[in-house]
Amino acid sequence: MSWNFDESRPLFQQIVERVTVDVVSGKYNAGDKLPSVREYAVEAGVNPNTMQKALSALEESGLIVTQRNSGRYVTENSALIADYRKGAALKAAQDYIAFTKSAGLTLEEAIEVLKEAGSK
Amino acid sequence: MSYNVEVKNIVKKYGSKTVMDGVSFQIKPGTIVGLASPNGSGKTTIIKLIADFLTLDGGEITVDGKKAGPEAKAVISYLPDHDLFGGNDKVIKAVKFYSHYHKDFDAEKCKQYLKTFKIDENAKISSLSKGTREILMLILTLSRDAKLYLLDEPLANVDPVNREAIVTTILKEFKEDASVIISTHLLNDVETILDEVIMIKEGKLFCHKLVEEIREETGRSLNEFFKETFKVDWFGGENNEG
Repeated sequence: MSWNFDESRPLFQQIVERVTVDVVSGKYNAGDKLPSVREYAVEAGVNPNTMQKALSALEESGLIVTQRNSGRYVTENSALIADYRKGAALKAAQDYIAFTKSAGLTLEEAIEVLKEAGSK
Repeated sequence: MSYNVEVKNIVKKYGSKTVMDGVSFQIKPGTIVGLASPNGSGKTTIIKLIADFLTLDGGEITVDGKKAGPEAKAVISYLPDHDLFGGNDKVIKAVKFYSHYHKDFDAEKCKQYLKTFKIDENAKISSLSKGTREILMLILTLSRDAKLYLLDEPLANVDPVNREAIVTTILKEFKEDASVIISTHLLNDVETILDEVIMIKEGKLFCHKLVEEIREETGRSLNEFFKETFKVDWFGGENNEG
């Protein structure tokens, strides 16, 4: 079953987002080997060149490292992964704040709702 | 950068009607290209011209550096938009036919795919459903080790489940030194696997673009972009209010 995409946005961005989530959420662990470009492209149901571009972007971000002749791995730099995890949480928090603000809640009220939701 | 397919200023006429009017484009190796246009706008004509099943009235086409002829044909794997086999032929006979006529045909790979798609080698081709015959033809086409795969409407009669399996098969068989041209109006089924799209409008090249670029620039999927581009003009262009 191929991945779900929003075809009105560049796919390579969505692949980067998805793999980043897979890394920060612990679906992949630090140091795990990733599928080859070809395998990953077939799994996702995307063009191999698009997958290549996404993996190159992930390499640039440092989340993925390439070892010559042996493939791609998730970085072993757990501090970097923690950074991305925090970044992902921050992004979600900003979306939440933007929503609650537009719904007429103050920041304090939004934080109370968040605590209430977290305690359930 | 050398191109795998070069189409230069091609012209095709049917009688006094010019159906292809100076179309040019190039395709690099390792790319999957969608060929899109509304019905009757020349998708099949272009595919047949590249496959050398129709003769040009002008211009030139080269595939893998070879001009139209037996040498070029040998590196093209062509899936026509109609059945090649009929009558009482069995599936296995089609496989043997391909083995015999195409040196680059991998019979083992073909048989493996027949199993994957649950097509019985001993079934009569005429007893298969239209969709299954289409899958059979696609398997035969992709089991060759060609430089160019020309797939004319490969999904038209295939159900959604098998469509996804076919798209996966095209990806599995992707080779960096070969190109794939898929002509289809079912763009939403293939758009995630395309590098580029070529759109033909009224016999001329309308656009040749990276699909990711279309998404980036228009905020639309290829399918939406296509529908927008070719939508029916109910008011004959007289109503400008949009």
